[in-house]
Amino acid sequence: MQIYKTRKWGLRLLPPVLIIRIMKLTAVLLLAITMNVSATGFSQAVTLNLSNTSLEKVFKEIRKQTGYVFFYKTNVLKGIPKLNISVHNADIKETMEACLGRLPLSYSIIDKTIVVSPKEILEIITPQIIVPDIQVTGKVTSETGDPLAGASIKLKNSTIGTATDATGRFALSVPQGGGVLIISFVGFESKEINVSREANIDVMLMRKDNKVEEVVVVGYGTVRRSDITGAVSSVSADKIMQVKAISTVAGALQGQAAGVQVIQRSGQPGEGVSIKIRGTNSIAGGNDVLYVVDGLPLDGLSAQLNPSDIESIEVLKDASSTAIYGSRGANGVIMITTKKGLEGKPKVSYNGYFGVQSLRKKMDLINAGEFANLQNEANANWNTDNPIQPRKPIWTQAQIDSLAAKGTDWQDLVYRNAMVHNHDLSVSGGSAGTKFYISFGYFDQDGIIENSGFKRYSFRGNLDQKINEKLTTNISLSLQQSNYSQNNYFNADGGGGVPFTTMVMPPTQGVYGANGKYTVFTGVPWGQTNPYAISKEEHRFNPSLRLIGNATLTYAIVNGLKLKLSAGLDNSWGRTDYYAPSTLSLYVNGGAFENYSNTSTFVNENLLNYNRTFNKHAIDAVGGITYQASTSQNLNSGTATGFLTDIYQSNNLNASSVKAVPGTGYNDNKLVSYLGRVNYAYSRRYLLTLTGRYDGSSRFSENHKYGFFPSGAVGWRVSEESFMQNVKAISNLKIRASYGLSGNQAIGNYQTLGQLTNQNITLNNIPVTGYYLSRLENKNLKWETTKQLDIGIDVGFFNERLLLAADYYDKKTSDLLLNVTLPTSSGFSTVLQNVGAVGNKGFELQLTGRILTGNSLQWNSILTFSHNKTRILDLGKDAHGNPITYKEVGAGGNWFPMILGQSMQQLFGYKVLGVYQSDAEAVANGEPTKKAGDYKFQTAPGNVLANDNRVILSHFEPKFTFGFNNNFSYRSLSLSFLIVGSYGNDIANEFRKYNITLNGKWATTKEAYNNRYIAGKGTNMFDRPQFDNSGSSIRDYANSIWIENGSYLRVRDITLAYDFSSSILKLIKISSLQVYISAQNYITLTKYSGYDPEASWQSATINGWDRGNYPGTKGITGGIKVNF
Amino acid sequence: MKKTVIIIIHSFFLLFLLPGCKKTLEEKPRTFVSPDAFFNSPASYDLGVVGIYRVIPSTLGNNGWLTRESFSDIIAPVSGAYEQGLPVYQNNHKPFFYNVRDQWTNHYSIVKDANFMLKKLDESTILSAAQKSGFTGEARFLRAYAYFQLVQLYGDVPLRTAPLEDLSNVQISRTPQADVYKLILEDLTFAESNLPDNAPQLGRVYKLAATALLAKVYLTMAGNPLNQTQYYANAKDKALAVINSGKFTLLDDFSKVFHNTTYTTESIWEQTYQPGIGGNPLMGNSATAPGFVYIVTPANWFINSFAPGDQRKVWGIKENYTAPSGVLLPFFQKFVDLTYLDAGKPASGAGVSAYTLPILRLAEMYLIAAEAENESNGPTITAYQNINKIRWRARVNKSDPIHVPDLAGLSKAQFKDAVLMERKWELSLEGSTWYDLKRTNTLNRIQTLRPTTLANPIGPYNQTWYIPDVEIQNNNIAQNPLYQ
Repeated sequence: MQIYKTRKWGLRLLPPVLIIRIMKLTAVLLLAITMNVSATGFSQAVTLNLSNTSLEKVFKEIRKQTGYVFFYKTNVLKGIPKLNISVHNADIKETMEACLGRLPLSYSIIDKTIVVSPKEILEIITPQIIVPDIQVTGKVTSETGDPLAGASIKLKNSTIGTATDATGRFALSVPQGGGVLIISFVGFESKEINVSREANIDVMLMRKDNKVEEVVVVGYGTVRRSDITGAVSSVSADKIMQVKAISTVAGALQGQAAGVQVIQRSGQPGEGVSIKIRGTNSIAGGNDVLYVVDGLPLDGLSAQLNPSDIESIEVLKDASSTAIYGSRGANGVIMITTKKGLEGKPKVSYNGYFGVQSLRKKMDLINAGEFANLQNEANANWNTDNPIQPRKPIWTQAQIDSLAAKGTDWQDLVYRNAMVHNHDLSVSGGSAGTKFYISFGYFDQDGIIENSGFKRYSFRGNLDQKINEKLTTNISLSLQQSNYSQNNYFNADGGGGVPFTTMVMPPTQGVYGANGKYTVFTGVPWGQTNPYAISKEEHRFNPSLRLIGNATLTYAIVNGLKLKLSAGLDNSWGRTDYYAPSTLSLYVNGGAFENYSNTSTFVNENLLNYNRTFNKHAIDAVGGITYQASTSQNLNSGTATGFLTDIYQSNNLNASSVKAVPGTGYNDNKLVSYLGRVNYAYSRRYLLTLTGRYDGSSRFSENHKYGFFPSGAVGWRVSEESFMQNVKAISNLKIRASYGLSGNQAIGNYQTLGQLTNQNITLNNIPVTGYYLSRLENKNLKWETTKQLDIGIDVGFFNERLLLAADYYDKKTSDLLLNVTLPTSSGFSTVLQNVGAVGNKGFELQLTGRILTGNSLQWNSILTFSHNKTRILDLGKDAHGNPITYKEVGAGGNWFPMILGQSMQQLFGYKVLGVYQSDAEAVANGEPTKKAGDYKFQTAPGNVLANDNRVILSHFEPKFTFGFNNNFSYRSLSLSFLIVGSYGNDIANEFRKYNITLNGKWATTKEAYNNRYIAGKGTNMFDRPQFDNSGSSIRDYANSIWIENGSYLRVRDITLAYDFSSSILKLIKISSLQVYISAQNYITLTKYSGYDPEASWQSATINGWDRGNYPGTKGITGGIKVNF
Repeated sequence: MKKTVIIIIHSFFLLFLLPGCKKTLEEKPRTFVSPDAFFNSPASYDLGVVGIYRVIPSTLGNNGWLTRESFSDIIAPVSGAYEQGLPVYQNNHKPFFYNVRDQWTNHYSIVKDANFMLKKLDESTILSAAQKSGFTGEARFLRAYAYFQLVQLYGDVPLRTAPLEDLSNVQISRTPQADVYKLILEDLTFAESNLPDNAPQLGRVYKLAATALLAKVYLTMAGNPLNQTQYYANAKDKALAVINSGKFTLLDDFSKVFHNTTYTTESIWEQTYQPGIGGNPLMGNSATAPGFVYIVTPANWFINSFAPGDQRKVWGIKENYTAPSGVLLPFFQKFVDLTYLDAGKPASGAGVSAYTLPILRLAEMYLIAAEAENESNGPTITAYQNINKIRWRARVNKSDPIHVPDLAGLSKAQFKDAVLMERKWELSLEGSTWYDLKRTNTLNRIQTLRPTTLANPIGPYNQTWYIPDVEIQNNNIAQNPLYQ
């Protein structure tokens, strides 16, 4: 080896002019230098004891023991005699010396490749002016051996490059001297290979999403998938865009990640979707997850982000990954990474679809004839306490007969087919120094009820610029204009709620009455103009603009140490224009208001990152200080009523006869945080993560301004151990465990301060401002703390063809921010305190399989499964010092109280045992005021409250939820479908209390009508029709009749796509073109009788309270994806 | 390089700047004031006293009606569409019912606001003596009013005379009702002597309002359950003081007492409303047109009980009223705007009614004077004069002798019954119906008149309502014994 060393030295000492000359040296010289540099690092031991063996076989044996691959031209070994070799525990260098020492062969080692060539070349150092290019050929395949057509092969730092043909082969001329080839293919890990001379190289690329080397975004940094110690689920861009006609990021996550429950609140386009990660932690402190977009924490992100701009989503679930977000991490964190430009030719993409949506299911209601008959019956039965009161007018049989055919089908009138279309256009690209991604998106979705819809215009620009070797900067700007038209559905069974009224409006009424005016629903006191008119004429328009910008500067101080400074701004402006014209009953001669709001958040983050590897020790540490300040203001005009004309709408409130009383609001809060995390890996086998955040929030009380949230995690990559090397079936195995604290700071602003509130009090018929003490000061209020243990396992089978990630977790949230009920004799009904505890235990798993990997037929599949059990562990102590077992919270009232030991709010009320068949039966059962045909209640005391017959009626928490996503491709065709579902959960269908009540005031279901109690022919299912009073007991009291099985299985998406072949597309300069057709929610298997089993109302802690939500839809869309 | 040095220096500047800013996290609200910073002028005290009135409208709405009107003898069945209405009517109420809870909570809110102001007034150094005593009188009047309702509805109740300073003393036990009445008398007596002669705004209380309320309190104390009959004399004195003050006169026509948007010559204390901001809610619960949910409609026997030519029936009760939807069930007209029904407008808009709601009016003073005189001295001329004044006013045709004839020649017991009946005819729906049944120990009339409508028989326990469940759970007190 001496000779090489000498030459190397010689090279270094040569003056520049000579260096140019030496450029003429053959590739072998360069190889030799390379070898000299890299050989020192090898230490793999080789033991050979071979006699009379061909060199070829020797190489094979070495390859077996070391994994080194040999490269040589077949004629090189010609004439080489068989060898006798004996080495023991030699390193590769020694082994190669032993093999080739006396032979006319030399070798060089490049990474794990040994190139063997004739020695005499060394002697041919002859000056040559023109050096021919070297020819490199090869084949690129996936790890399953399938050829990759269109893979890019590029010479690093040059413009030389090519692509593979349909068989995965390529040929490339590389200038003499060679270089590094970058071989890349979309969806695969790129590979770099040194070439120095003519060679035929076969390259195998590994799929990105299956690789343990994949980089995962976590709070304030990234970690290799293999080194993660926490529980983090990743969802890729194609999965986010899989289900069409979804406007929110949250909605796109349904069924895609284990442990993530997506709750669709309604079918209203643009409506926020709530997400729960690993159950419900908080009773009153809020259960919203924290969204972090490209490192910037954002509040209340719903439909303001264009899902097609997303590159990937990571869901942080355990304490180790969420503790870095401190007092905001307890409910989990959704990390969103938007698309960035890639080095290379600019890429232009267009993605568009068009679709039609319709009501998923129609309710089976009685027709006009049946309704008239019901009114007659109800009337005849209505006499018990007021015999002389006048009867309601009765329909004659002739009238009933004539009605039977006619009547109004309100569902047909109100619900329509609605279109949705979406267009995304993006341009991305970049050079070595600059990378950019620019996009424009347009999303337009109509609701199936008139005057509801969502339109979004979104712009995004992401720019990465390398300033110099040490300094890089990044700026991202996004702008969304959302136009949200909201239908009247949130009023549920009051105030003209359209879905509710559509269901109960009598079919005997028409849209217009005899006087030519709109008819009014009078079945309830809060009934309003018929739903058709409300949906047509009531306008609630909410345009909003959100601007999000973030700029970062990264400075590499010294090797491994980086400083990152960032400043972000999140600004949103919102407006609501409301107008109800005089033709509606909602206001006297019309009502209108305008509301304006503006929220502005500034975030500054200063992070120091240190990332070094010392021998077997790898350290990745981050520390930083962040500051966040939010201010929001709003102006509400108040409602003006009484307009002479409808033309003003909300634009001229001064023209009203009854003036509006305006109001304004102001809120601000600040957060100052210190955070740090150390990831340590020993030998890449033993992993340790320590995280902490010290959070100071203005919302916390004087005595508790700062909270500390630490966490720790360990991981063991068992598959890296030598004893696992022989287990071929398992390609990766990691066991991990974490424990830590994260918080929930969802105290409203100023909640800890004493408050004197002003209120308008009517004196002398005018409002006079009065003041009263509304809140006592609370100096001890602090965050909720969630302690979480997570034990997880990641396994890859059969060379990562089947991946399993499974986690068990046990969380306990204590110091709940709970409104402690006070004896109201104190003058205060509640006070916010840190009381009580909630536990969540669960199990979740994700199975990812590449089930079929053939050349033409492929099948990939992801199954997610989540099981969670929420338990209320503590609600504090009552005045008598006993544990509180029952507590009413928020919107749930005494229908949905919190009960100790249960999972959050449950329906609490009376069990309905059937219908009394005789008056005597009612008396015997302790309900003397009830008669035959009335609902029979269970009158035995329940076991929750003393002397109270009410019992727990529901089980709202699913036993498990799941998602099953499949993707088949056969040549140019691909088919995907996503199945989601939930099992073992109840729904409180409050619709039931109306649509089975046979009082002749509102339409009922056919089921109730057909199975009603008729004296003498008594049935046991529904009560006796009776004007005014039928069903009153099932409306007055929460009861078991509302409860239904809410389990469902839904085919959320089916997409059939066709990709045009690249050879045709090349002619028209299109690099790829896909057309597809897809169906959303077309199949739903459920026993639930309401519009949609995915129902929830108001408070996030009561899932499955259906009280007149905007019904769910199904849809068909078709679209194209083009890349230029 | 220079640039990066600047950046590093800048970032470290931030690093050291932030921890120094503990003040950064101090909250400075801009939409409300701190209780300590507010009271700095006489006007601010005035606004604090006005604040005490904020809950009164809530005590007079449907929950007030359910508790004080619909559980009575004169009312027909409550609509099954009114949540928890029927069970109340059927004597099947529960400690968690809205009306039981709200009547308790709302009146204690008044007590809390009054106590808070009394403390602030006591500490004040910037008010004149007259201002201080005037505001104090007003706050004490309102506190007495609230306790007067509480003690009648619930019996012995926790007595708070100072604001809650912190959460260590939220739990206090019940005070015997006689002692509660003692505080009521002290407060009202103080108010009577310190309140101004005229209220600064319509809807606020003044001297004679305190006198009138005292008349009512004395009458109540003299009756069941305290039976401190010595107070009949005080009741009569106070009632006559109001009658003879010359400040008020009875209107000739009963129908003119109602459907007003401001005080009449008969008004002593009324709640006024402003449509659009807060309307009178009671129309929604007495009209019987489709969509309206009635909780007070007249019982048949009650409709039939009026003498001929009684405006309180002729005008006051609408029988067979025809609306666009057809013939309506009988309903009380006191708070119903017929133009609304005629137009076929939905019930939801009923809150737009601006009709005032009487809390104290002169007619009741005549009836108190009559009753108290009869109880003290038997049916004297004074007693007849006072009751017949009200009967005279009720006559549709003042010159028709058979129209609501003057009473004469009754025994003391007959007179007592007559006054009680007169109160039902005159004051129905004005919040006294259940109180009168309790005070005169005649709750059993409900059992007698409508036994089949009761889930549980009327008993002594009906003399109070349940203490609400939330109070029992969170205060260390027991349920009213007869309910246990």
